[in-house]
Amino acid sequence: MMPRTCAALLMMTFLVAPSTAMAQQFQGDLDPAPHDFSNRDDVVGIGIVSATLSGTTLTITGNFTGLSSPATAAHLKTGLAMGVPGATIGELTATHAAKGEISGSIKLNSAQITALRKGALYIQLDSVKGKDGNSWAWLESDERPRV
Amino acid sequence: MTPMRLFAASAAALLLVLMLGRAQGQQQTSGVFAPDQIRVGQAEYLENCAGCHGNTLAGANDSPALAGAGFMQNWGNRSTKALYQFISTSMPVGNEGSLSADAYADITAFLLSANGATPGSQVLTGNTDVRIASVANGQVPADVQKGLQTTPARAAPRAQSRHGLTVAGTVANYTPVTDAILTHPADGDWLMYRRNYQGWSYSPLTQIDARNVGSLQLKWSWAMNEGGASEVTPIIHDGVMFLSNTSNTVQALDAKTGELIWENRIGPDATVAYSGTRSLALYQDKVYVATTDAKLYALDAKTGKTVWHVEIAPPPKGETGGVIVIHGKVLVGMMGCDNYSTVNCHISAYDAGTGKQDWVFYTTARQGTPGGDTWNNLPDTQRAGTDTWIAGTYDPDLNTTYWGVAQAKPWMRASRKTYGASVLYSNATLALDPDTGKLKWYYQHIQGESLDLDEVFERVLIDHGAEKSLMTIGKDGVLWKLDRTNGKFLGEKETLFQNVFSKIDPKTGQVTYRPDIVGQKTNEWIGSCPGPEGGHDWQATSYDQPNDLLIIPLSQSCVLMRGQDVDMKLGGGGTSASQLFYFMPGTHRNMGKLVAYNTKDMTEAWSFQQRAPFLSAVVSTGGGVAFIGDFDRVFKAVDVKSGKILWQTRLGNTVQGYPVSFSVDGKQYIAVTTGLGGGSPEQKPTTLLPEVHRATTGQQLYVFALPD
Repeated sequence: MMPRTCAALLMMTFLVAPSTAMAQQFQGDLDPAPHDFSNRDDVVGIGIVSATLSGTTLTITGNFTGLSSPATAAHLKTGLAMGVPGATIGELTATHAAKGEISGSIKLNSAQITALRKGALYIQLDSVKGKDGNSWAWLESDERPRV
Repeated sequence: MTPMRLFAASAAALLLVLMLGRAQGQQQTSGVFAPDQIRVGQAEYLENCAGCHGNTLAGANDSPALAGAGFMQNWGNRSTKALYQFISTSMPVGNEGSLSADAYADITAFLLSANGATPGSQVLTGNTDVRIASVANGQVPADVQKGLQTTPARAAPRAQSRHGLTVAGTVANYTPVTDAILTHPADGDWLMYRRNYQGWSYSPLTQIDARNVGSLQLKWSWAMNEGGASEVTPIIHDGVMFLSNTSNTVQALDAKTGELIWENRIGPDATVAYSGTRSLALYQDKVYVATTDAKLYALDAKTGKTVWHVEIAPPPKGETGGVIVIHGKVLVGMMGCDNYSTVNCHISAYDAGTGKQDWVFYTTARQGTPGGDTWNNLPDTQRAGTDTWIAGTYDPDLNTTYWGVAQAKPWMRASRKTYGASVLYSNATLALDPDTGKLKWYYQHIQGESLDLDEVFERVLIDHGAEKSLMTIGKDGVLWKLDRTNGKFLGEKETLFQNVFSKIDPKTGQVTYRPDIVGQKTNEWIGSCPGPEGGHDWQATSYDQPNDLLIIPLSQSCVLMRGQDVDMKLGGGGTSASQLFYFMPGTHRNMGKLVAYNTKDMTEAWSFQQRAPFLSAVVSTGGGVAFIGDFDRVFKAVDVKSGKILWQTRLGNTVQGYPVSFSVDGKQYIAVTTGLGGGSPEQKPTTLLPEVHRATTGQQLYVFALPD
């Protein structure tokens, strides 16, 4: 029995380790989302975000620049797939300026972790002129080759 | 009161009475615009907007409906101020913000009136701020439903109103184009849309190669008609170029010098929404032109005189894809099938000598015909779309012609009420007998397509030993390989990021839509990557046969799409969806991508990305060089084997059209056009690439060669 128990423990260690001990890295470009020609000159600016999933906590850092109006808020959101916008699942902190930083830590449930791993989580940065979303950044795993 | 003032007051009062009468029985708040703004706004609308949105305001292609249920779904809960701001900053497309504040206000007032709003005593301005549903109810007045009288596009010069043979001349030493010549064209000729029957866009000419392409020089240039959308293929035979301009103007030019030989301005003149034909075709002693008002013309190739013409379909149908001539029959597709009509879209064939119609194949499967039970029992008059806006290809050995069919209309299944039905023959490859029009087989790439992702583009015929394949790629960016003898699925490749299909069966190619697309409802936003820009669009591929590479222009953008409820009556329907654009995840805001695939095993050979999308097709050459141009005016040569950029130059405007290569007196030339106008491939980068500034004119032909 002893060897079997050891083998089982060893296997459990390998299975559990990736989701608990080893942090996973994600990143994404913060792209402007002007949506139509009428606001293409108002909804501008770029940035980059990074995220680390450690256990069930997702820690997000990022920066942005070139907005035409001050940032007002940042949110973590989830869609049905990468590139499909959806609902807010947590609030982040953003510098209230045209250039600044994004940060925050949010505890995810298992469905949200699954969504993160399939690329369906994204950051939305709002601004005065882009109040419903100046920019979007979908979080992609560092392990997945980019398009 | 002076007589003039009395007259003006009486006229205004009469107009007010008429408008009030028009809205009798309706229960809206009245009075946010003045009666006279309707008349002025209507005139401004006809001048600046009707070319795209239509004279019934029903919309077409990428231009949404501006009257009725669809408009109210889009705008009912928004304010008149928001509508004014949207129009004044983004319209007319290509010349945004160019009208006066008063003109934009008057157009806004006219649109409110066209949706049942009644005038009052105040004048609407950009600051008028009321909820649209509080003043309009979507009831379209009878005169608007009937159709306002349209005017030519503002950008179209007045001179274009003179029609017929406007420059007389004669082509010397013209050799009739036989079936044998079409099957085995001379190296220096470009006789049809993609040069050969197989749709390769490959020129065997070798003079320009990877070592010397850097010394290319401009040899001559030619200003083309402005107005409309220019997306043309120059046709070359025996040193003569046959060039189609917008406004259905055909010219014969000396391909070596650019000297004009003859010109026939067939007409009608272009309006903004009209595309020019993508390609002419030659057969025997005639040039064939499918015009934007769905007529087929045969011109004398030597003189340009009209020999015969026939109607392909009654107005408002159109044709832009060009034609292909097989066994003395001119085969032509049809577009403009957006709205509900008594005429369904079809492919038809005409005797090349006389214009007599030989056969018709309906690309909309109609009730009581094979496939007719795939439209959720809708009557034929509510089966819209299935346009064929790209000319077909042909296999002489199999005596089979291959055509791609576009999506059904309205774009979204919830709007058109077909739900899970497959709606044949939308988004299918058709294999037809060119002599009879009989269907040999079909393969539907996407059943019940729902996001304006056409699979209509060029069918490229490629052989590997005994394998006779057909390759094609649609807006979804999926590259398909079929056995062209029987339509059997051989393979697929996703050439860029897509989130539309959750699964593609590797054995059958059957796609499974993302669940929210299947369960869509009207008035809900659905995300789609890629969006209607493509993926792949009309900017055609090139098959470089010596290297067995298919070189594919791709675009990378996404949309949110919201389908509208439509009027299920004749004239109703339309594309009927709003779109919002955004960058494709993971592309670093690079909208353009050029990729080459080994066609035998469908592996990627090379690719590169760039900020601007490609707005021209690709042509590859025997010298190992391929040419392509982009939205930001750059025309470039790339090494076919590596994708390395070998040469580039800046042209006058967006490089738009189908570049070709030809030779005269032993010298190889590269011809390419710049152009404006068009749908998604122009709209998306115009919004997402604010740093690109383009002139409002600049439809031009450029011809390059090595130094003498």
